[in-house]
Amino acid sequence: MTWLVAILRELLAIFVDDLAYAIGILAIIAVMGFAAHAFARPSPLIGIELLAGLVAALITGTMLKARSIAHARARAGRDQK
Amino acid sequence: MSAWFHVAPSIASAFLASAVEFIEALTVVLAVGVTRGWRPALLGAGAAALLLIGLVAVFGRELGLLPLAMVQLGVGILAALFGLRWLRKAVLRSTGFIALHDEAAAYDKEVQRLSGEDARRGCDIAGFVTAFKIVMIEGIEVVFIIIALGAGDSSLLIPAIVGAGAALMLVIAAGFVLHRPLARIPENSLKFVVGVLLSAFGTFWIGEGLGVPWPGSDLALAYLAAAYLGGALLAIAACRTPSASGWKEARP
Repeated sequence: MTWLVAILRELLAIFVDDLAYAIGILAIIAVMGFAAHAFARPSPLIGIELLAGLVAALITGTMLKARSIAHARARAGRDQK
Repeated sequence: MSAWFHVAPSIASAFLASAVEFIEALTVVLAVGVTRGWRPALLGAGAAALLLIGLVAVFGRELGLLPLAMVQLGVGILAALFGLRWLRKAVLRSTGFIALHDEAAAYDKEVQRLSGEDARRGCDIAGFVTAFKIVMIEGIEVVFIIIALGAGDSSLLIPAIVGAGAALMLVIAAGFVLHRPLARIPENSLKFVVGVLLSAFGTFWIGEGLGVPWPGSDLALAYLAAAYLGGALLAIAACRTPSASGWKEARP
């Protein structure tokens, strides 16, 4: 049974391995979804804004993760000394 | 020519993305075969493949009954989550923040783990479960990739299946000939490219699902991919410039 749980956990991890990053992406999609629903005929600009938001999430999410990894390494280095 | 332009991104994306998954599965199945024997390795892999085919047959039909916009939105969101996760990981790997995925090391680790398990018996549960699990997980990822690439346009589903099928044949043939993991494949570069493509497809389907008209219609995939590539390269540059992100002292 543990292997079944392991499969389910790994399946979830296909899409989400960092909750904050995933929530950020979903929040951008949700905002654009509301914007699209506000208009009878959604503007092409919403698509461009969706793209810009997701690219910004990628850059910010990557930099924040890099920063936390670097800080963890520095802390581990200090603890070893 | 225009038909080829329409299907080529789906074939290429499915081929590259599926190749990455099949290579990861091959590494573990080879490790099971070498340490526990080929019987549990092939039985586990075969059982997982059969179960996957059954699941696709059952749920694939159900998927066709849902409204197209809902499928496009749902699959688009999942593809964006999947692609952006891969892309971020590929950027962090290429800048040295996380270790590169090494198939040879993964193979050695799996061989060591399986060698430590109980000695071989008539029915080797550990070997069977290990092969079953990896083929199931990587197989589901491949199924998802195919659905993500062909979700909103049934004419793209067959090209995506063809691309994934070609990758499967190639990886099986390489594994059969070499009998060792495909360690020389630049897996991180492949994941980088696939991350860009899946993010682009995901964004495209989200827009389609929301009813947003993309300027340039199908050509939008090209500028979506270019934007993600540019964003990823920018993230790499930012990660390599400690002062820009304020972790000057902490960075290794």
